Amino acid sequence: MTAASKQASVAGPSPLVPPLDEASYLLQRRVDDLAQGFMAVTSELWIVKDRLAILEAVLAKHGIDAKAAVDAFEPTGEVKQQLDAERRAWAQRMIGALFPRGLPRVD
Amino acid sequence: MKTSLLQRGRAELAFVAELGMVGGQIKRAVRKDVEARGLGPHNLAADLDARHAQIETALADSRAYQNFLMLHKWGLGNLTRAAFDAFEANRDHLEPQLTEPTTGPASLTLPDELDIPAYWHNWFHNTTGGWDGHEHMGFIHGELIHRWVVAATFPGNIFAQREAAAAAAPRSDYRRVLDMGCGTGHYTTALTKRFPDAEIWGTDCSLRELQYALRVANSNGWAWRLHRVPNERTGFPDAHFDLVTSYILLHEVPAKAIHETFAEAFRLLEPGGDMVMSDVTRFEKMDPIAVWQQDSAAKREVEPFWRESATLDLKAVAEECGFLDVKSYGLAPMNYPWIVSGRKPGDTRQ
Repeated sequence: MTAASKQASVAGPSPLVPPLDEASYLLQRRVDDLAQGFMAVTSELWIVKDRLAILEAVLAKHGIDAKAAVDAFEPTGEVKQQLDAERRAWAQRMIGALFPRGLPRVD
Repeated sequence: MKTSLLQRGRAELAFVAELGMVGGQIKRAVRKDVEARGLGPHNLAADLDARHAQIETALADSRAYQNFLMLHKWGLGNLTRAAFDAFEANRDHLEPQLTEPTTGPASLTLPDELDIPAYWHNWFHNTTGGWDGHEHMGFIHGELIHRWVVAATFPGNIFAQREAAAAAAPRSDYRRVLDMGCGTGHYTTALTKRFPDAEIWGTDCSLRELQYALRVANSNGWAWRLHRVPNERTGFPDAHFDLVTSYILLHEVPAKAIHETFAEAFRLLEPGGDMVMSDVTRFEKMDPIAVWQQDSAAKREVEPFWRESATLDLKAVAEECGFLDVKSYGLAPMNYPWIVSGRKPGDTRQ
């Protein structure tokens, strides 16, 4: 809870919409809905995996062994830096989605 | 050996490490939540179990705490699994390197009768199957888990920390050095570099870790003498070493085994020889919230002896075993690792 929201919840009238930190939108019975959403994401991820495999197969037909090249590729230099940065940002966004205003910053 | 991984294993281990770092960030937010609820050194219970209940009750509505627990659970449940998967996906090019005959100056001695303490069978760090839980656990733990994940997520530089522990030994002219609980040889490597002219011995209960340590030694041309024996009862001759040391071993064993290990080190040292043991930061040197975070993490991580080790007076144990000039201190900047050192009476070098 931020200092401002704490003060508002104590001193002011009851807000129609509670401060974001106080809100509990996901009721226990909605956990099933969450699981349904998880299955939808899993399905979507499979579609992307399927497409990647097809892309590799198409490239192979044209004489490009992308699968082996991707498997054996060892990121270095700029590619590694780019991957590291994108992975960091992705992980922070993903876990940050579990918080009302993103990943807490404590420095 | 060539330890590169195909894309899937490489990417997954990197992601596991990344989530570990995110967990570290959330852990700091949890601490802030504890403080925001008015809890601190002035009112937290001295009794650790009572402190757990006090803080965890106060954090019942903390998103940071709930998400931290969820993330920690995921990491604990998936680290070894991801490493196993990465190994399987790369078995074709890794296994031939791991099964080819080991040749070189190092040796591995296995006893006719195993004497493994009961506590060793614990799945430390939630390592699936324990230290020998996979036919290639030495490589999996020493390389995939330690170098690819722990090295990325653990505060500080884990290899520099080992070098610093080795440098805590007071002399540079040791002739015979024993690394107790050497595992795959990360600390043994630091000792070898620190004392290049010394004969280096290592003990461990894990066959798989020792087999990989043998490979590490031979591939570097190091004549390590590795033995699968418990540290408390090595069976080595009296006064055989002039330095007996260990790295982050003590919190993995019960207090009774720490006493026995120090006593064995005393027996194994020649007069004037040094013991230098290193372990986790003492709870007394941490603030009450940090102790709660560490103690509760240890429970989740299947570290049943962490608390009794971290609260044990290692200086007193060393003195009870007969060591002189006993010192007990943490290395800067994090009081980690914690060093306890002492000298066996009767220095014959003077």
